[in-house]
Amino acid sequence: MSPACEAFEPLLVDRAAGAIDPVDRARLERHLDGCPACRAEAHDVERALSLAALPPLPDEERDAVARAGREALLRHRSGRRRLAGGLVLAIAASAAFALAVPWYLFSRHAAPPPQEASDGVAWELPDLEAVWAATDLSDADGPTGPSDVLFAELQEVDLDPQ
Amino acid sequence: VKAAVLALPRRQREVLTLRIDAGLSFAEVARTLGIAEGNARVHFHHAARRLAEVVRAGEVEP
Repeated sequence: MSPACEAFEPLLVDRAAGAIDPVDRARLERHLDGCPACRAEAHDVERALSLAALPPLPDEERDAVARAGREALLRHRSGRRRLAGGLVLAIAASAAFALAVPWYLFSRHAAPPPQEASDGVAWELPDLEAVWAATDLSDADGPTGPSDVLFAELQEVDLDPQ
Repeated sequence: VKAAVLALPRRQREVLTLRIDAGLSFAEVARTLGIAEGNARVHFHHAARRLAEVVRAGEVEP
């Protein structure tokens, strides 16, 4: 093999492997057109690789492999969906907790119950009987109240015309 | 040829199998094996040349 042909030998392998650059392919094809030795070498390499390759899978095995891939993908996606659902629930629970705690603390400390006075002493219903007894009602209408006027008028009425 | 494949050095056999059976590019083969892409190509070339010799010897033998 001439030194020029040796330079093309790696390209022969690349071409047989289907991994040759388009520019290199064009250069190699031009060389092969005028070099029977390299054409024979290219033929041997291509034949060797085709014989070394494993036979194609039977239809049943190919279907089984494709099915296994799809099932694995579905399992992966459903797992991600479950993870996303759990994440949403966790965020919702955190938000509810974050809102509930300040509300509880505010409602407990900011607004005192109505029965309790501002100084903190509890308000109790007074003894109404005692309050009533201690109240002086004798001059509730005053010295010139309606009852006094009426009494004076009644005294002036002569009940015995005779 | 199958026997020649099995007789290849382990790294050459791995590169050959990943390239022609798994259909990986040389970059993917290199990443899979943790080697440089140029190194993967060199292993593949050695393997292909060895197998081509086997094919040539088999075809000239009676």
